[in-house]
Amino acid sequence: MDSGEIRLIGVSKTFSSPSGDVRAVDHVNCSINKGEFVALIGPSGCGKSTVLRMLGDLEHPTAGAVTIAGSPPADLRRQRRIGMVFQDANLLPWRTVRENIALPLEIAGNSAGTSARDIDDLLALVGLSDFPNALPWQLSGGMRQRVAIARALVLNPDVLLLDEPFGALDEITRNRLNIDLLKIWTEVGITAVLVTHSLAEAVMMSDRIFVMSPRPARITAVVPVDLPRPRTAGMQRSPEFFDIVARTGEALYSPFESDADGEAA
Amino acid sequence: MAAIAINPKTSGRLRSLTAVLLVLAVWELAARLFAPGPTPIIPPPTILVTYVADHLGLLAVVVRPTLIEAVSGFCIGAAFSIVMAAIFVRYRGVEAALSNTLVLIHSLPMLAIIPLLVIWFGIGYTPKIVVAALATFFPVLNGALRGLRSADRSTLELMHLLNATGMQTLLKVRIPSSLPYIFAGLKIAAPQAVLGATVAEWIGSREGLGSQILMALLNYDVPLLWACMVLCAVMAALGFCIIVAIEYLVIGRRAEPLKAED
Amino acid sequence: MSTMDIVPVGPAGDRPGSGARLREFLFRFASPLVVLSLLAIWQLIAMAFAIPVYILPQPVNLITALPATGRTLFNGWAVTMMEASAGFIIGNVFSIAVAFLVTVSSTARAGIMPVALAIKSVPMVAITPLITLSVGFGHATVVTVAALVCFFPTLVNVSRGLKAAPRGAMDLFHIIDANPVQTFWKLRLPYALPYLFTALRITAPAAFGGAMLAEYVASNAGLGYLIQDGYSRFQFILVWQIVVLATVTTLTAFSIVVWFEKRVVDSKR
Repeated sequence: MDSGEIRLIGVSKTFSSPSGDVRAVDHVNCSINKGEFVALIGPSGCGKSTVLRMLGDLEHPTAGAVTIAGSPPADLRRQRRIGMVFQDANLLPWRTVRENIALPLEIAGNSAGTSARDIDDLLALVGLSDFPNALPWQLSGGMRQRVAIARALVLNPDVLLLDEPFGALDEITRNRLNIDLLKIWTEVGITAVLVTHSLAEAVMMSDRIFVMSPRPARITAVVPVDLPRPRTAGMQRSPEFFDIVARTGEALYSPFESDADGEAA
Repeated sequence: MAAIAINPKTSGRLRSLTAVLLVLAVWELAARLFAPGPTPIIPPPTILVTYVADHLGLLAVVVRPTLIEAVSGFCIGAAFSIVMAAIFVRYRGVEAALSNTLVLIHSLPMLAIIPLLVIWFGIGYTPKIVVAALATFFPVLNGALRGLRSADRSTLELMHLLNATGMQTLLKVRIPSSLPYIFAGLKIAAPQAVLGATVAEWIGSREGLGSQILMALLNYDVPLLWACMVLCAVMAALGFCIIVAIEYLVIGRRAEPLKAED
Repeated sequence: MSTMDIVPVGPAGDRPGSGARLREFLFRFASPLVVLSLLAIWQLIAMAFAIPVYILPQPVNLITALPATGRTLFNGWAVTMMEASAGFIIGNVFSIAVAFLVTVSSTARAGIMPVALAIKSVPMVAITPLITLSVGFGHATVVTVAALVCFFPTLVNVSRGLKAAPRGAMDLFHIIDANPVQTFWKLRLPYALPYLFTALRITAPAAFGGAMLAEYVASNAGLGYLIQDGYSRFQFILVWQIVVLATVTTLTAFSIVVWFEKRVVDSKR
């Protein structure tokens, strides 16, 4: 079993709340290969974030199994082999950029080992070499997310989980960060799972797109993205790109469109 | 030649300062005009200042016990409340169990507690220190509770993801994020500690500002009364300023500049 | 769920069932239970160790002494209650008016706020004798002190509350050309109410405590005076009774405000 190979087998998740049970995820089956970049796309609130959080051991499935390299995510989390970037960068406001990136190293202590990345290299990788001592409030939203990405990579994890990391940013910044993230991913060579609700982002970044239904989340389609790597900004204007976007959009919107036509989904 | 631009914060402070000076000036004039004579009820500020300067030695002796009581009570109360807040955050059961008791203690009027404390501990420093500690305890507890709970859910998830221990989360996330709130509580508590110690001296004490105020009142010694009042206010303000200074040293420029609130 | 600590494994949603019900019951009733058990412990310890009455009377003693002290207690309480209520009303009304003034006129604000802050930082302790000097011994001083105690918290809270309406809503009212009275009743007041109630929650007990404090110095009636009198005559049971009575009154005042708050604020949701 390759490290970084992810499998979800019959995964379901139901939340119980005082106002009743909410079925967030319903029988999701898929596998992700080592080193692959995969996108989960779906309407807001459909449960795709829940799937991602199960990969990160932040939620537990109520049925089914999640494995990463054959082990449950909990094991990898305890070995700190999972990196996660949240929609809110969540930098500690009293720490500089450098200190924020160093946080996982401090927590891991001695067990960080030699596989930890050098912080200066990471700063260069995310393009923040000029700002090692800046404080979060001095940084723009895009820069804060770069710090968050660097922090997620500092312990050299096997898996990188991204939960709509650029969702709070404007489109232009988002585009630039997408390109930069691809460069970083290519350099680091890690299995990545991105949750997004932007079609263009999903097509631009990933090798495969899992299209998810409205809640409860099910995988309704898998769209392979066979654009050549390394991806360039120019590709976003190519007919092949638009074609894949259209195909993904069709899969994504079909539940809504058939409802609008009055037919059963 | 460029005009000097005063930034809004400074101009606001300048305006307040001018207002205060204006009030002092009006006070001086009004007092001299409307209530002349050797012992007016509201003496002009200049007379007060000279009085304090003349009686510096006496006043220093009077202030010392109150200062000791307030500072000791403050430190004890603050330490106790921060520890308790940490326990409450960690063990919500303990907080639920004790919350009503704390509300009860908090709503005891000061004048009700002090006689009891004097009955138990006599008229030495102890009752005053206890009162000052109690006055400090509640604001700091509130501040510490809010502060320790102010960490984002997402940040805590990040710590979970990094498999951080409870202690690491406490030290690296909760405590630093709670500092601004704790200092806000301390800023409220410092003057309260002074006030608590002084009131405690009203009942069963022969030294300190509080008892001096009472004696001055009974003897109708107006300048002395004013001098003590002013000293009390100065001590309270000084306590506040010291906390502000400590806050700056500890948190400094790492904190995002706060919006000016009032 | 937002307050649950993420550090223990798994969110609480994973574990429904009887365990949660028991915990909820304990959470709700633990606190009053603790208070009751403290009372019981007090009684038992005082009895068991035969503690002298002047150090720690038994709760039972306090009750059995009521026939003797009841009348004095009631008279004293009534006086303090009246002074506190008068001070509460005067102080809050005046303070709300000033809050309005300060919100509407920024010159008033620049002039009044520093003075208010200066007054606030001179503790009640110090102001009370001064007021006694100028107004004289007796009820007027007590009422003035109680009013002053209420002044600053209400000023701060109400002026904050009057500014609490969000900018977007203010713009909306401006666009639909609402007049100032409408804007006040329909927008500013609802937003200001929670702040007003915060102020009342603080000042209701404070007015009573402040009145007692002023009585100690400047009056010969009321609970504050009775404490001093009882203490000097070694009537310790009376002192304890007053302590309990004062606490109960303060708590009740607080609870009444909270009750009103729930009714008024919740009816708007």
